[in-house]
Amino acid sequence: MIAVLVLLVLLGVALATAVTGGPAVPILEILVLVGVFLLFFGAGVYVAAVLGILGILVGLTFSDRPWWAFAGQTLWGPSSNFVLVAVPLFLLMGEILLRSGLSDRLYRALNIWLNRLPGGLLHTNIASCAVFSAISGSSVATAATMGSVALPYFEGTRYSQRMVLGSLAAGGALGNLIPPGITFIIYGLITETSVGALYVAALLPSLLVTGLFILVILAHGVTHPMERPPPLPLAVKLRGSVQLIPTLLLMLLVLGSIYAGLATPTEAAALGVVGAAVFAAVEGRLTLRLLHASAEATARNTALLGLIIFGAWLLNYLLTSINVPQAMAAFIGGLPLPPWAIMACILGLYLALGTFMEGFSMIITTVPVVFPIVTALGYDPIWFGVVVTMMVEIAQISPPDGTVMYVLQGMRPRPGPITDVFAGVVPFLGAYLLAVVLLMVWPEIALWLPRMMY
Amino acid sequence: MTPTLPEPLPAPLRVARALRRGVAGLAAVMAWCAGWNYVACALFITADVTGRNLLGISSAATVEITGYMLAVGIAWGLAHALARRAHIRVDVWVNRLPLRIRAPLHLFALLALGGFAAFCAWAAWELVDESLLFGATDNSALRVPLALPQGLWAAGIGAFCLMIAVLLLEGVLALLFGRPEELDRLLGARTLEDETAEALEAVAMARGAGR
Repeated sequence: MIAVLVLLVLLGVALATAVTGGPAVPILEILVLVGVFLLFFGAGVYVAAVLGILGILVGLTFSDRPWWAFAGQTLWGPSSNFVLVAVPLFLLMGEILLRSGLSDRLYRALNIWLNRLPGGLLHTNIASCAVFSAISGSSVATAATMGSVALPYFEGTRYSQRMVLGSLAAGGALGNLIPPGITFIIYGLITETSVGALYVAALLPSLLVTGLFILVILAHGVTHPMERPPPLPLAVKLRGSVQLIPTLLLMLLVLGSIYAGLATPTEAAALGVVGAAVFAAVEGRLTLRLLHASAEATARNTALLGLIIFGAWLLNYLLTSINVPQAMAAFIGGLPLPPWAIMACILGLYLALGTFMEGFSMIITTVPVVFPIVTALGYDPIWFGVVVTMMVEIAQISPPDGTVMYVLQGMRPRPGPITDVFAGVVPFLGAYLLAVVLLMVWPEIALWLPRMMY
Repeated sequence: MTPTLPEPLPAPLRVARALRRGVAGLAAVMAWCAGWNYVACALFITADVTGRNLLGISSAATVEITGYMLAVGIAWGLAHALARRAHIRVDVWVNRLPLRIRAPLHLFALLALGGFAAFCAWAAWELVDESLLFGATDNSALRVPLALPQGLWAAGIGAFCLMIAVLLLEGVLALLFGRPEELDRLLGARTLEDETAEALEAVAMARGAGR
């Protein structure tokens, strides 16, 4: 609902400015195209087909060149790109880890350290969801997996149901922000920014958001004091943490090799797959069945991303060949508005789109058009990549449309209204938005580290 | 899997269903190849990274070869992803419509996908044709003739078109014989329950396998 409203307002503003002067725009054709776009989306046409057919229509309507002669190359280029090879590899790594029993172990080991803080197990929810979603890359899978692991721990306790569900949803929304995320790979590919630099830039912001989440839970824990579990002797704690070592080693292998400059993100992803397989083997779970199931899931998920890439690249090629992004950038850059106001509008648009579009399709559809505007306004490409990713994640947990929340609602042991989940996630949503505002005020939070390293 | 139906299926629909199952089987095998191809990809790149960093040797064609593996992997997984209803649709509105309206919309969506896929397949074949004509090879140490990976890639897109065609056939027949619910089962987008169930299945595998 919010989404439709914002889109209508933006369309209205665009039309009003176009009517009251400015360069001659083929308004009728554009309106027809926007209409086709909305109709297709409304009818539930596949995202890739919407993009692709729109591209073909744009080509037939506006281009006077034989654009179809380059279509094959346009599709082949990105699908055989080495940077993009990281996508199936990270997916494969996540699938292997998902099936090798990482989730239980992670939760138990983190719990030993965190359960005596005010807020107790809720911290474990955030931390384990954050780590797991960083590995798995899918917020729905994270919510489902960690929900199934965590919810039994809360049965028969006095924890607020709202906070339990809210913290699980919020933790999952960290996944794409914490490196290595797939969103950054596709953003880097579209905008020709270094994926490694994006991963470095995302480090401090993800710590910031995690820190704000912890503050939210601490505040809740202090105002709702609960009996703390008896302290464990350090030796027991350390022995419990042995369980964390394989996970930490894997993170060190993947991120360390990128940050140390030993490997590109794609190569790090390949190391991650091998590392995950070793992890599964140590657990005694590396079976042919596990590998086969992981390979099948990877093939399926890569194909669905690949198809969207086909559509998006075709559309993007045609839009660029008729100078749409450049014209948009010039037009919006010429508006009598300060850059931060335009940036706020752009971020509002992302929030609205995110309520009904899945993050990957959203980035791939909008960034080619929005990116020239952003750079024309003088914003840093790396900073924008981090902020866009944060907006995508926020959209995933903003009521009433967030998919993650419905997954958790479906898994609750004690039934209750969905509004419990909404109420639980709101404080975390506020914290996430605060982090975006902080990043807008102090872009250095994202830019300082990459400048130090590159 | 199939819920028991009140009456037997009309013959044409049965034929179409058998046809669709056959193509879906082929698609599954192709997707398995694509999946294991990624496993191979990971091993290949790992070998290259370790070789480069520790021994100072490299295949000097890793970037190109794994790029081809990705392209072929994407193309060969397309049909299977469709058969498993994994391709993403924006379905917030469609799923709230009554079945009577929703069923034709599913067909419309599939038709649009078919149009786009046919264009992609045509463009891919054109590219292969061109590479053959010029005998184009890549710049890697191996001088791989481009028509080879591009041909495999185009074949995958072709299989995707075939999958769409048999699904369309079955969908149209189901609609003609007044069985819109079949269409929903065939094409309706995967629900959150499906996705949740899949993640839980994976977790169950994790818990069960070691014991």
